[in-house]
Amino acid sequence: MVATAPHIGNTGWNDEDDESRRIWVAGYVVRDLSRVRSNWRSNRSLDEALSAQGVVGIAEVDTRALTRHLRERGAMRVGISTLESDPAKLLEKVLATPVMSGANLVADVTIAAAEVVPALGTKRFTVAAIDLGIKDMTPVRMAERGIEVHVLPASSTIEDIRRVNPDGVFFSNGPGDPAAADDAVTLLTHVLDEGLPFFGICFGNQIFGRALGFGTYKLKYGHRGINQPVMDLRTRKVEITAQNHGFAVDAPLGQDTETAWGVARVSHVCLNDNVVEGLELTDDAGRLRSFSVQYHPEAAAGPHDSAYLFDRFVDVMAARTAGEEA
Amino acid sequence: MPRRTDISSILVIGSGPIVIGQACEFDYSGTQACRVLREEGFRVILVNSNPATIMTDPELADATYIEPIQPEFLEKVIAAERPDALLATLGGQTALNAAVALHESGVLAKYGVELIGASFDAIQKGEDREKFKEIVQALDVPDAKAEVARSLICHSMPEVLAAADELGCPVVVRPSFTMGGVGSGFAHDESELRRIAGTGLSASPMTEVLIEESVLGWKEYELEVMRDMADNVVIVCSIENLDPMGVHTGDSITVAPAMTLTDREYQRMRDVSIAVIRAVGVDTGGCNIQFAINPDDGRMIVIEMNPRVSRSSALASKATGFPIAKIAAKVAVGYTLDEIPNDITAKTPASFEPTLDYVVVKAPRFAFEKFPTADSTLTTHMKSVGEAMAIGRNFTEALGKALRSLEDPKSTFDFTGEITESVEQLLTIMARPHDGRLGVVMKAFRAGATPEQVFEATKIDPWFLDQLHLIAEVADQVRDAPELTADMLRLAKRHGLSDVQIAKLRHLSTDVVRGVRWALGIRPVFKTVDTCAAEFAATTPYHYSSYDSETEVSPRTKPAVLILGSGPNRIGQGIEFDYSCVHASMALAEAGYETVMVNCNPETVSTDYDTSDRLYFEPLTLEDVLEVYHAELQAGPVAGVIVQLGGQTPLKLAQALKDAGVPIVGTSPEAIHLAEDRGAFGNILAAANLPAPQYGMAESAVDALRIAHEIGYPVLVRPSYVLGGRGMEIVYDDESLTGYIERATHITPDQPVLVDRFLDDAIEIDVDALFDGHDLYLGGVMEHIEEAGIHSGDSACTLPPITLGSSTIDRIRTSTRAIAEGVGVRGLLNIQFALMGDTLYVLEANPRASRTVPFVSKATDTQLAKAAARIMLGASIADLRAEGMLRTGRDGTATLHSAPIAVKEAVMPFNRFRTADGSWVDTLLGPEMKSTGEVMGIDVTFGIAFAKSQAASYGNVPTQGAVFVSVANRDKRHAIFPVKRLADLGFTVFATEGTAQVLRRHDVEVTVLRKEAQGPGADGTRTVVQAIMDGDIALIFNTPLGVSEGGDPRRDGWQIRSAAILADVPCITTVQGLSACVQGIEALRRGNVGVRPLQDWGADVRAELALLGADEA
Repeated sequence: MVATAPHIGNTGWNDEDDESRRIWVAGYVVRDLSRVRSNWRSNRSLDEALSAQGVVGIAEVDTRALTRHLRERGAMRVGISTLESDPAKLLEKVLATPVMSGANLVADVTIAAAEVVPALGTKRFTVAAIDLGIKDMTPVRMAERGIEVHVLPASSTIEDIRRVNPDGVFFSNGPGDPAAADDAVTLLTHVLDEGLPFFGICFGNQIFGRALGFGTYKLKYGHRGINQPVMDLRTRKVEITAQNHGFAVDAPLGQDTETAWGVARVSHVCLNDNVVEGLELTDDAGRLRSFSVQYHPEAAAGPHDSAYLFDRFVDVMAARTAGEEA
Repeated sequence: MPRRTDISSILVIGSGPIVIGQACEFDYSGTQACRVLREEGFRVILVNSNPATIMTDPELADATYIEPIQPEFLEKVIAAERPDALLATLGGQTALNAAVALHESGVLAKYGVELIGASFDAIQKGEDREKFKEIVQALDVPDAKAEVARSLICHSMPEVLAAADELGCPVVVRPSFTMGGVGSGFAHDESELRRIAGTGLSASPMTEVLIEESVLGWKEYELEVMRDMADNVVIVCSIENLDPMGVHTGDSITVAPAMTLTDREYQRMRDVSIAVIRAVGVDTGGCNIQFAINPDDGRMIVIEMNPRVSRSSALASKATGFPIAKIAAKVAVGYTLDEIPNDITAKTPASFEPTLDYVVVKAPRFAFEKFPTADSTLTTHMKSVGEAMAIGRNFTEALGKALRSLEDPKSTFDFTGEITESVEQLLTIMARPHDGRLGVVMKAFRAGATPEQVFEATKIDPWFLDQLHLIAEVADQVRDAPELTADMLRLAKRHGLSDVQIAKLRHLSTDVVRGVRWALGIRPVFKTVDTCAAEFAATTPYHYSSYDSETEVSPRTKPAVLILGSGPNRIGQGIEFDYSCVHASMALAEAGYETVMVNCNPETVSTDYDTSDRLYFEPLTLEDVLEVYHAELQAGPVAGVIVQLGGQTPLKLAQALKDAGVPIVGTSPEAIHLAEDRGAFGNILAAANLPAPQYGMAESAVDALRIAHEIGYPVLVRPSYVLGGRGMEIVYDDESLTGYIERATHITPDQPVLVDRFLDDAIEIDVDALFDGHDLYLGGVMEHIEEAGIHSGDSACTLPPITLGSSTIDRIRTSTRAIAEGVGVRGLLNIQFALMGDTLYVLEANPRASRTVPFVSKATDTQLAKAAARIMLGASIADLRAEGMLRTGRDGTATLHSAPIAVKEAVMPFNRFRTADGSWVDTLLGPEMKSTGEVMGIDVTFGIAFAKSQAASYGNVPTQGAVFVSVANRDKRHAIFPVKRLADLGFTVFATEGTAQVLRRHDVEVTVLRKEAQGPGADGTRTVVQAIMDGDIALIFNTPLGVSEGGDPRRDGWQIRSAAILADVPCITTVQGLSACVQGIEALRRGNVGVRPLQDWGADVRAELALLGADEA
């Protein structure tokens, strides 16, 4: 990971804002690493946090030059070494590492056994959340809305999901090439067959796209950062979103696609480059059944403009429950 | 939603004269708005009384009214133009207050004018502290409790005292509806509270102040928010104040983006900001919201919001490349953010949030040296007169650049000076926020203080303190290194040390350091401000330097002209120079050059990324300018560098730049020296047989006395090489001369003091002229209203001159030509003459754009700065006449029936400054310039033009009521006639005893008021100050008895003038001013004062000139 913001580590590290059980990046490139930490919640420095987990960091790099390099040439493999001082040899090592396209990394990041995040306040719904690399804030956002979240390993089967007796199913974000995630696509197909409401984020959006019959492709350098403008085509409102994706769904804009489960269409689009940022599936009556977004409505870090999507998920589940009762 | 089609004409109100708290930023915002609205096909009607602005250029609006921003004048404009809408959110507090007044008086409803941008309701909600507080408290924001400081609204002193009891001192006093924090402050005890709240109550147009719990020492932040009609909201920029709460944000060093917030805290602030703008109901456009955060527990408080574009918006625009004013104008007429392209990337929309891969530091520029008695403690009441912004790839680099951009030798860190204070003393000094505090922090680190100690004293965030400590460590390393290696130099440059600082640390000359640095190949690269941290390619070359690895300056083929701007605003050098630089850029772009602007003032039009072909946001020091020149020379041919349009800042670099091989176009550095060096200039005058006041150059105090005796008192004394009359004084005897030398100079043979004969009672004349080596073009001749001795920048003047005959004008022309030839001027020349008896004395000549260039240009419908830029690049006056840029056959002195009379009036910042004991600093005018801005009154007759200028600068000229008169003996004879005239017009006359006696002898009925020193009479007779404070005086005429004595307030009448400021009563301090005022009052009483756009004046003048030309042909 390369940070474009030049000063990194100013507020140090705390134990409240972690989004995962460990740091997943292999290395961190910054320009100016803070020598002190200044924040009342901080209990250690960035350097200490990286060292404790054995993650290499490098500072004093012209990160803007590096960013421009990546913009013009696309995302690429990288190596940071404190041992190898010959650039040519280091380059050789880097070129020997596997490329991201075709990589299935889900198994590396998913949890080993199911975990339950209880609803806050009165429980209204149960959701099965497939962990393809889930961030901690996602179940929190659901729990705040009265959802009991069962976080399940990526290897879960439709039977595992059924066992939870969910009102809806969620597929999380995660690393790797969606084209290589056939198992997840198959699982989602079963979920849709069951008629369960579905909500997906990021990788989950790509899996949803594939399940609906769309392709995916690798972006040149991806969408990164917390300032990406997205339009919700339902409301024509613009939201500022947090994004971190290198792949995207290839679906037609402004055009309905018939699928086995209803009509699918693009629901959200990135205003910078018209990349698909969301998909939705409506039933024959035009009711929203399932949807997903390519970005991060759980927003940690990032703006909270898209929090309404969790409400939308609740509404879809509520409508289905009401429909069943009626 | 596309552009609205139901409105077709829009009235834009500007912000009037430059004052503390409202500077060039509103020229920047107004100019952007006018451009955008015209591009969108609206008819734009503009009202602004400030002629020194780009926005009042006739080509920027369809109808440009340089008229007072007062409800009665605005109503006349509305009646004449019948606009569909009024956009008042881009002209500062002045425009917003004017819009509120027009709404409340029913004028907007009467003429069916819709308020766009912010509705009346939203303005009220944003500005009315009680309403705003309720709104914030009622907000429902998930995860973020929106709080305000606990506070109470008060309308009287008893209410204020009760509130302070409840909240506990210290408390903050904030008056409602004032700008720049006028009348606000911290009160630590009852006496402070009575003083501050008393001022606040009278400063507030609704006699309302808010008494608030203190959040002193908390972290301070500001978010710039933009909203469109479809309710899309984006945060343009976050700004963090290095100085914690307690110092007005305009006086703080501020940093963008915020440096010490985690994402959680920042998002909380963002959520609340968005909720606030929605709840207040600012439908479209920008606003800024201020926050305080308790560093101990993160408790967040919403401080205030401005439902309009502000100084911070200008800063945020320049800091991010997101043009807030332009976008605000677009969303005001119906566009949504996603429909507006981002100019910088060209392909992405404006509905995004800029992200910064650099650090921006803004530093304030103060002018306490102009007001020696003023208290330099920084409070919530803004005192700075300007600001500089710098960009670097890290904080230390940006800070170093910002501090040297201020062009104040005291502002940059001194790593080598002797430290005489102890750490404890330094900690005590820094505990009081003042203009040199950061320097004291650095000194304390050098003396061994720890960041923890400094934090306890200042509450500056530990992160910033560590950065400052890092700078001190780097300076130590530079000093102690056995050798100045490439690595050491690079480290120093990466942390913002200038060549000058490195030279001092190494006991080398700056030239040697630069030479070594260049030889080692250590030069800055130039990066781009692109709104998106390099995510998309930028199409706009908006650059800043950094000691990093990759440069982004692209090659070009057209010859470039570098225009050096004028840096931060200060008294004596402000927006007028920015105007000239912008005009040069326009004219040269049109003439086929690639224009390159170098400047560091974020408030200006010149630092808009679309004003010039390329923009370098850089300090205007030799080091930084040479690096820009080098970068541009690598990029393509450079035709030359312009130094004569940005005031003294670039002018003083001229010789050094030339010595370094930089081609200076226009008047050569040697010629500039001829004009500035008294001896050389004296020779030119002698050769041309032009009289100058006798003078001498004193190298010691004894010398000065000898010269004064030779010349005869009064004499004008000043240090050589000064701008804006710094340190200038008129002295009348040996005692005051000796006092001046001791107090105000460091007299040595190297730093001599000039002693000039002072021309008492002379008429001062200002001339702006163009010279191409062959032809002379007199742009305009201005006659000062105040006599010689008042600094020309503070003096009101009239164009055309009203008492000068054509033979005098001819002599002025001949003299100007002789000086232009003698000096070797190519471009603009400003000369000050004094006419005494029948002798035309030359006071001084400045071979550069003067402060009056924009005024002359507006008054004569001729763009002198554009012409000057062309002449500098080789065009002749004949060429420019042929092109129509200059008048054919005539010049700016042509006597035309259709031409208006234009009066310029200066605007003073006296209501901003108090002494440490709380009394006002004096308001006397003298040879040292004190004004911050100017206005223009334009009409057919002098009386009305003058009255308009007074209305524009000081509110209104009273046409009835009571006048209080107290004049010095020498003025008594001259005062009789105008005072009698006022009595004849029905004014009640009050006077002090001495003045009353003289007036009675001339049959003027007078009531005597007692002097303040006498106290109220036993019979209940009031003192002058009581009468003023009781609101019974409409006009004050008070000339100083004694002589200006520097910062010493022992002057009679000072209390009167202070009361005048407090009660906001016009106060005239010269006889000439009174005479002009009487003419104005007479004109106003005749009624029918009209308004007329510049375009109409210009059309008539051009028609008359064409007719005259045809007759002659």
